[in-house]
This record gives sequence, structure tokens and C-alpha cells, in this order.
Amino acid sequence: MAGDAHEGPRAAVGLHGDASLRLLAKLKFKGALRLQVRRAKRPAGMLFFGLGLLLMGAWIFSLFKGAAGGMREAAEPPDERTALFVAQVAIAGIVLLSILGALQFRGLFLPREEIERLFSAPLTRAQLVAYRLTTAQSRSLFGAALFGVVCAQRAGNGLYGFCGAALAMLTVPVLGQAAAILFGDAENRLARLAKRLPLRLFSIVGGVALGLLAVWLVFGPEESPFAPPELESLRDSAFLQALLLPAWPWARAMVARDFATFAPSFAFGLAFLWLARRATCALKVDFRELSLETSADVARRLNRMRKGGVANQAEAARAPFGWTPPWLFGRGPFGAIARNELAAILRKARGTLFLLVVAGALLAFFSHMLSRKLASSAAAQAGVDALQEARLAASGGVALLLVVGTAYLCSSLRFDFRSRLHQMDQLKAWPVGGATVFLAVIAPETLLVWLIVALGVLAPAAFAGSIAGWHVAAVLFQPLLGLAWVAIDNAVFLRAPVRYTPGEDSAFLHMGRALVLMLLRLFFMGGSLFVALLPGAILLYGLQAADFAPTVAWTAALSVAWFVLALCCAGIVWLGGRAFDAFDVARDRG
Amino acid sequence: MNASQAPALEVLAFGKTYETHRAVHDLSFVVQPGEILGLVGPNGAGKTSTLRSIAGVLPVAEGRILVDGWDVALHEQQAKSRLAWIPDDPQPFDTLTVWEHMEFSAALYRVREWRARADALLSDFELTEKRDALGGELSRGMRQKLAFACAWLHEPRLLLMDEPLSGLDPRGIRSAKQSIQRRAEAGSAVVLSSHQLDLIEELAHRILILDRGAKVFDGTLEEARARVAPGSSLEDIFFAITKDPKG
Repeated sequence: MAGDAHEGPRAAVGLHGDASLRLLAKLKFKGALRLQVRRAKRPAGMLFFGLGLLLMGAWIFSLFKGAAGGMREAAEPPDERTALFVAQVAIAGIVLLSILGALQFRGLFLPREEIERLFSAPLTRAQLVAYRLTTAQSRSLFGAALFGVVCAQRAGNGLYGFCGAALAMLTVPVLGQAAAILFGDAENRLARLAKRLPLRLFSIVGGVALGLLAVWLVFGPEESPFAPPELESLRDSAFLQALLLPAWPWARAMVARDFATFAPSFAFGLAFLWLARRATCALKVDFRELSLETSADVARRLNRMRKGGVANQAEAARAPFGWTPPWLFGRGPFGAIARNELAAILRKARGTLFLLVVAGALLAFFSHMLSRKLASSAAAQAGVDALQEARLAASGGVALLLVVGTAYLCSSLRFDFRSRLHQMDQLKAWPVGGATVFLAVIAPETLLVWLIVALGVLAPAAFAGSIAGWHVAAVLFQPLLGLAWVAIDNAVFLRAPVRYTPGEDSAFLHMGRALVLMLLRLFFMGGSLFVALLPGAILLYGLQAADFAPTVAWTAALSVAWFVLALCCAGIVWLGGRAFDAFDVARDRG
Repeated sequence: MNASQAPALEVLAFGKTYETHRAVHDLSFVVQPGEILGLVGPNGAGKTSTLRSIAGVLPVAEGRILVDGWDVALHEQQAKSRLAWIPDDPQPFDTLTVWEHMEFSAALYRVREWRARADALLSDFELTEKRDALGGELSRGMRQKLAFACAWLHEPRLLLMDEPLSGLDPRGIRSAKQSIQRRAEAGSAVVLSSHQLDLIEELAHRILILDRGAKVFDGTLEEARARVAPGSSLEDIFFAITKDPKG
């Protein structure tokens, strides 16, 4: 008779869930290690793994060194009330972010290889929650230790600071999971109404608002109507004290200077963690449908994330702005391929594109503010006049915007070969040369980045009525810089088409490889700029030595640099075409 | 109720609604031990929703489902310990070896003395050589075979399979068919959902046809032939019974 092989009913849920789930966690951990070792056995894998390990080790060492220094300096005690307040704010902020994140992960998140298997297995939901909490807390261990080390630097007692902070960090996943299940329950109860609530948007807007608040408090302009309040006045606010009261025990453990203060707070935190785990496991909520939706949603998002930047993660919309994408690059094969990419940008980026423009404007503003500050201190040191200071500030702001803006926008958009890796079979079959396909794929993104940066450069200058030569030069140089960067980035990517998403295993190996590939890109970019700027610099030096007017000398030098950079771009595109031709579709690890 | 004489599966007035879409309504059927039920229907007929609800992956909000006499909603664990669910695209754990999948399945369903049985199953499904291969290294067909082996390990009283043969090579298809038949002969009830009508025709003792969430036929192939036309194939029956959405 079938079914005689299995044992009787299972025991009630323990603190760490069912034995089979503990076995699963153990096997998965062992498997991840085995995979890491297997990959690291290859020469390239070993090199990348070593580099990744070195990077991580150096970072952790710097943290520990800082922590040790902090502990030594702790003989000079900081203001206890302020330290307590800052710790409370930090804990409350992390918990709030975690709860906002729970809006996106309603129910219980289980990866796709687990969900159908575990939901159909004879396990209680409490056991599944316990397993998930253990997994989440295990993943948090490393982060908790790092956060503990960072806090130990500033704490009155390094050990207490470490323990208090680590305990707080291990409690956060439990609160986040409880919130996710309760949000899911609310959604189940509110049914249609909840479906209409844009919870993910709330989550994103909430996160952005918190981020902006933090930026304002730290970097807000002083001596202006928008000046942020002093830390002391925030600390003494009765309203904030009441609001932050729930974070008090953990904060108190973090900033404690003696055992008598630390012990009760830490004990309370431990008891709370135990109770919170039990309570979360005991929640009587049927989260299965929401969990299935969440898991499918996360799988979709991860899949999109593997295709490129943030903009690529959006779903495509059918009718962008009610019109079809224009044929900006002609009606030939090149134009058709480029239009395809343009359509992807317009149909997918939507809100992201708008956010990028806003981010670009903010970047322009901050680069202007920062360059003003820097120029002011530089001018004070050099003793230059106010006009020179203003010029220095403006040119510094433009240069900053040009470099940071281009890098930021290119890494955010990523409508390039990353998003086409799964379609390389088709791309390779197109009756067009490799370089043409290569350029056509990256041209729309380059154009878009140019438009946004040009807007960021020219709009503030036009508003101030002071468009100068360097503004025009920046706008003329940006498309070449952008094209060179995107082309190098994609050429390297086509030679080493590997993608990594958060949560994947072999993190050290990926970290090392990412470092090598980034250095390679920077090397090519630096080489291109050097080759392009050298003739211009020589010409400038010669013309200045021959007493030509500065305007003439600069115009001639920049023109030569522009043409040489354009030639470099052509060369990089050709190399990119070669990389495309050499791309082996059988190698695709997408 | 713990009735070993109870049907292996009893579905009573089951319904499933997604927001405003009614995927399945008023569905009732019974599967006896040793019986293979072929579940067929056009896309969107509600086959997978039904199977996932029986498996306990989706909650049962309407009607009742009893597995070996245990109500899936009220005695979830008892019911689940008696069934095995193989989805249409089984996902193994990337970092676990084939053998570790068996080890985990044995722990999950509390199978005693599982090693010899696991060895035999791996041999049956031609996975012995892949014993130490990682889940992420398996082809589509191998994944399917591994899912079969894991599902067979605890000798379930009820087997639920959604498109079980997709991705298998001819040899794999033959061994899977034989294995399903052997499981039925050993007393397991099997519910087999597939668009491969020849497979259903070959294996199923009884056929349940769903269309737009409703049962439109439940009976043997002979009964279906008697209703449509003598000597007709399951394909003919399928087209005769289900409606063309275009009218």
C-alpha cells in the first residue's frame, strides 16, 4: 500500500522550525560553499575570488581599525544624551525602512525553487515562517556584525555598542517579516481596495522621502531659510522623544558605558527578539496566495535586474505618451535597430526617465553648491577675487556634472547589450555588420544621456544669463565622452558577459571579477582621454607660447581634442563591433 | 476523518476566484486509489488552479477537497503528507546535488530507510550518474526526472502532475509512463494534467474535461466515445466537447 513509508504527525514548531527545513538550510549553505570552491578552483576564478576576498578583507580591516581607534578614544566620553538620540534615530530609521520594504514583500517570501515544494509539503505555516526568519537572520549576521563594528567606533563602550547594535540588526528582519505578513492579511481583508492602493509606490516614495530628509539634515544649506535644525534642538524635542521611545532599549544598550546600564537593556532586547519570533510564527494568516504573487514578482524583478539598470526593471507600457517612437537615426537597418532601442527606453523607462531628469536637476544643483563651497575655500587660499571665484565655481560645477552625470545616467539606464543578452541569437542573425549593430544598440542611450546632461549644464546657466564658453564645450564634448564610456562598457561586457544580481552566490568571485572589469574599463577610458587630450594640450601650450589670444588658443586646442576623441570613439565602436562578432551565443550565461 | 477506505481524492463543489475572474466553479469529482485521472482542457480552463489547490499551494476558499479522507483546509499537514505535487516546470535547488534533493525530500516527508529506495529511484529515472550533479547543472528533462524521483520517494497516495512529460526524451517518456503506471498499480491515485492528449488516452482510466472553469465531462474514454462518436480519439472528443472561444 502506498504511503506507509512516512512517519506520523510532526511536532509543534520549535524556535528554528522543522527538522527538514533545518536540513534544507544546512544543505543550501553547504551547497553554496561547494559551488564557491568549485568556481574558485579555476585559475580565473581563483584570481577573482582572491581579489574579492582582498577587497572585502581590506574594508573590514579598515572598519575594525576604526573601531579599535574608537574604543581607544572612548576615554573621552561623547555627550551621552546626544549619542542615545542618534542611536534611537538610527534604529528607528532602519526599522522604518524595513517596514517600508515589507510593503513590497507581502506575505512570506520564498524563492521560486522552494515555494511550490514547501507549500505542498506537510509543513505548518508557522514552521515555514520560522524557517524564513532563521534564513533572514542568518543572512543578517554579517550585516549585523559590520553595523556593530561601525557603532562600536562611536559608542562609549565598544563591546556594548557592538552587542546592542548587532542585536537591533537581528531584530529588524523579524519585525519586517511580521509587517509583511500583517500587510498581506490587511490586503486579504480589504481585497479590492488594497489592490488599488499603490503600496509599492508608497514604499518607494517613503524610502526616497526618508533619504531626502537625511540628506537635508546632513547637507542642508546653513544660514538660509532652509537650514536644518541643530542636533541639540532635535534631541530635546518632546515629540521626537516620544516618537523614538520604542527604540530606546536597544539604543540604551548601544550607548551604555557600564554593565549595570547595558545588561537590563540588552536582556530586554533579547527577550523581545524571542517573543517577536514566537509571535510572528504564531500569526494566524494564510499568506499562500500573496506569497505566490510576491515570489513571482521578485523573480520577475530579479530577471529584469539582470538585464541592466534601474530603468530596465520596469514593465513595458504599450503607448508611451500616445505616440510611436520616432525614426531618429534614419529608416535603414541602423535606424531600425536604434529605433528598437529607443522604443525600449520610451516604453520601459517612463517614470524612471522622469526621475532621472529630476535627479539630473538635483545633481546640477548639488554640483553647483559643492563647487561653490570648494571654489570659495580655494579662492580664500589663493587670494583670488570674487569674479575669479565665481568662474572657478561655475567651471568646477560643469565639470562635476559632466563626469558624475554621465556616469550616473549611463549606469542607471543600461539600455544596451545587457538588456539584449537573451536575444543575441537574433541580433547575430541580422544582416548588418557588427560595428553597425554595436553602434545602433548604444546610440539611443548615448543620445538620451547627452540631452539630460546638456539640459543640466545649460539650463542653470541660461537661467542665470551667463552661458560661457565652457558650457558650450561641455555640451559638445559630452556625447563623445558618453559614447566612449558606453562603448567601452559594452565592448568589455560582450567579451565577459556575466551578470550578477544581489542574493546570488559566489559574491567574492563576482566582486573580484567586477573589480578587474571595472579597472579594464577605466584603463581604456583613461587611455582614450589621454590620446585625445594630448595633442590638444600640446597645441594649447604652443599657441600660448606664441602669444595667441587665450580664446583662440583654447578654441583650437579643444577642437583638436574633440576630433581626436571622435576618432577614438570610432576606434572603440569598431572594437565593440569585433567583440559583438566574436560573441559566442553558446557562452551566454543569462 | 482518517479513513483508509476513503477515496484517494474527493473534490466537492470546489471553486476558485482570482479577484474578479472566476477560474473554477462548482467542480466535483472523485479519484479512487489505483486510478489514473486525465485532466484536460483548453488554456485557462482551471486545470492548474485545481491541481495547486488540491496540493495546498493555493488555499481552498470554496468547496471541500479531501485527500485520503483528510480535508486539505482543515487537516492540511495530514493531507499533504499523503500527496506529491509535480508542477509543470520543476525548479531544483541550484546548489544541492541530486542526492541531497533526495535526502531533503526524505526529511520533509519523514521517510524511514530511504537510501536504498532513493538509489533505486535514481536508477529507474536514469539519474544514478548524476547523483553528485548540482540542481543548477541539470537539463530540463533531468529536472523533470529529479522531480519524479523526489515525488515517488514517500510513496504518496495521491500524485498530482502538471504536464509531467514535457522536456523528457523518448527514453525518459517511456520510463516515466511506466513509472506512473507502476505507482497506480501499487495503489496510488494519479491526477495527470496535460495537453498531450495521446498521453492521457494511453494512461488514464478516466478523463475529466474542464472548460472555462467548469466540468464538461467526467467518465471513461468509452463513455466519452459513446457520447461523441464510436471509435473517436480523445482529440476528437476534446474538440467536440469543449467550446471554441471564437464561437
